[in-house]
Amino acid sequence: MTLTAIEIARNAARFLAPEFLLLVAAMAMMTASAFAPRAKQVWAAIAAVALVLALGNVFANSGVKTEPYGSVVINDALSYFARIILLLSGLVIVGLAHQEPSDERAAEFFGGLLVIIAGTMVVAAANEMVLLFVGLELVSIPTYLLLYLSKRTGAAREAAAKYFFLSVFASSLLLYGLAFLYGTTGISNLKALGYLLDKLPGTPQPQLGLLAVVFVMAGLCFRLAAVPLHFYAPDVYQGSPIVVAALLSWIPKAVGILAVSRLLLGVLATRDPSDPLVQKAVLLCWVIAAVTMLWGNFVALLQTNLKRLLAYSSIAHAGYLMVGVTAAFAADSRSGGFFAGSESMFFYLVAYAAMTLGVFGLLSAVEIEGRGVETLDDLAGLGWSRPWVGLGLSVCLLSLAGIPPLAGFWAKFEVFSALIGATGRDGSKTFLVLAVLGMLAAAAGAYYYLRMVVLMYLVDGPVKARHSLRGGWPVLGAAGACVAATLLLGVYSTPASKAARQAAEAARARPAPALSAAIDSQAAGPGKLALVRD
Amino acid sequence: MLRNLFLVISTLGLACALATVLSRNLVRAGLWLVAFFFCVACLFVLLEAEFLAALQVLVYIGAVSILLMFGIMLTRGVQGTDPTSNPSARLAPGLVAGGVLFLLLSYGISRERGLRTQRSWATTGERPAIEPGTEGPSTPRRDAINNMGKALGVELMSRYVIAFELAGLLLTAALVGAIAVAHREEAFEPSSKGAPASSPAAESASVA
Repeated sequence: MTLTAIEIARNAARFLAPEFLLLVAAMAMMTASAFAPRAKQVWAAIAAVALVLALGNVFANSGVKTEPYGSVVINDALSYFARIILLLSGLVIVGLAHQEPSDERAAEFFGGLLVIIAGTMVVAAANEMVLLFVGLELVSIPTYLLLYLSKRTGAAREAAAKYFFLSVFASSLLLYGLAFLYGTTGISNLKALGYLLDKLPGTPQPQLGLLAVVFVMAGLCFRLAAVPLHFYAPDVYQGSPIVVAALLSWIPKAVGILAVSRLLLGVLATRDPSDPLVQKAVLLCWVIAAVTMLWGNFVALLQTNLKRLLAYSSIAHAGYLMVGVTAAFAADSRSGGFFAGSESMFFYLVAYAAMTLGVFGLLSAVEIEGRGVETLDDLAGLGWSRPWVGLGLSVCLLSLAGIPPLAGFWAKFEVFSALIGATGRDGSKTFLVLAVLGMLAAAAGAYYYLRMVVLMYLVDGPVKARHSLRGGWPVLGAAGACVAATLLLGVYSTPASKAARQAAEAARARPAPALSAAIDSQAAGPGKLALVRD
Repeated sequence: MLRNLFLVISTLGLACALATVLSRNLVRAGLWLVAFFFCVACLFVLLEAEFLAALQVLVYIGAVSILLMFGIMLTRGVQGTDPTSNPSARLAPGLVAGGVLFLLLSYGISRERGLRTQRSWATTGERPAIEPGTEGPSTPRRDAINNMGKALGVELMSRYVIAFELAGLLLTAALVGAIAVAHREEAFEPSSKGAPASSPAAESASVA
């Protein structure tokens, strides 16, 4: 059965109903606030309701059929699970942020937040370069807004300006890479692109393909805060409100990993690892992963400001995620570990979401002498003055450090075992070297996480009751949910692993195409398929 | 003939781009940028993409550069020449970045070997025809080239309709955001409504 382009678009629109719901809610909030000013709690509640409705919509729409080779979106396990996780994390962020903006700007703040969540979901579901790029911009443009909306200090202005210029720069790099990727065949549908690149010998030219990979990776490294484009992170985190820093530490990373798996892994990684282009991509990811892990962890040792420290910690975790990307690129389609790299990457992402949002959330819930905690010293004695907060914070920090029964340990374990499993039959030692470097970096990282725990419990016992709580039940509830998820993922990780496995398989699946249909739908427009016909 | 035309246009374009970067006066740099945009439009014509050429002129020369000029004029303190910039300090890193990009691109493009049915770009002086031959029954491809505006419109309204609509929502969100960011703190208090709006306009220009 061949569907016309407009029918395919109609199906895609039905599949994207949750995203449209969020966007419409955002527009309605932004418009209504001008005529009917309300308290910030009202806007936060509306945003939360929109997120819950969208979540129900995701479940309801899980059966929509999308054409893998014709549609702009794809309904597979990756988009399904990613959208659920993103919506849940959106609820957590709304809970954490419900008191952050002033009443006058709350509608714009929460509206921007909804647009960001919708953008990440579009990226997760995208099967088309154009739509994926629009999704990325739906994330980044409201982020500039959030950075400067709630706190108008000089530092916040500097952070917003830095983030704005670098983000625009990174977007242009990504767009340049997408142009090369498109130029290899003249097709922008990602599944069709991957299929054609596999079927046509000699495409893409390794050199042209390398340009595409380098520029796409460079653009996405900014989102991940991986090393060549990481340097904005500490300043921006420090200058922005802690809730926005929490958002920055999670949403761009999720978007970056989802875009990598849709744009590069789904297209290129089904090739043989001996393919020259795949080898170069593996080398590129290897270098980024190694430098990012080492730089993030070792520079974090020197930090005393909490937000800067967490920024370097987020850089370090970008390194671990890149280890997963390396393993995913290097996986041999004939070995058993074909999906291990992507699987470990997705699992890491979920675990990272729980633990980092937990840390930021609990830190935002504590205040000391009427101001928020800012430096490491502000944490001293927290474990005794606020035992539950201290306990939750310890759980998340230990998980970030990778201490065994917690989520972070299993995430690191999966990533590194996928890496070692990807070592090909030639038995080269390069992946082993990366794994050893990663362990070293993780050991260094454990020091600063443990130092925070030690500060909370062992230092300065008598200063009881200096810390007080703020934010009320939504903040504590959201942060508590993150802590619970960290514990749960550590103790019973099977469902999450299974979901990650299914997502990894879906990200690479190429349903047997009715190739003629795909070619028809491409040739109906001014596509350049004639170039690649034999 | 086409080749010589291409060489002339690309030389002009490169000269304009260089002048944009090297000009000390911001307004002049903006005007050189307009000239560069025009050269790009000429290149589109050479590639038989007349519709894109028209869009390039309308959008980039007509809208983007005007916005740029407004941005320069409305930014206080910077009236044309920018005394604070010190180009020599950024020369070395700029040269390194530009050189690396140039090497990467020339490596990628010069090593291109061409598809099976074509010769490589690197050894082709003349651009091959997009559609071989002009006779014979009309193909969808030739129709699309001859009727580019229609083909683009149909594509935007069918296959890319979702991306297109999302981009519209994105622009709305960006506009609302620009207004919210540019809104002054005290503008919310009833006493100072109607305050002069010079700096918010500049801010919104830079955000947009």
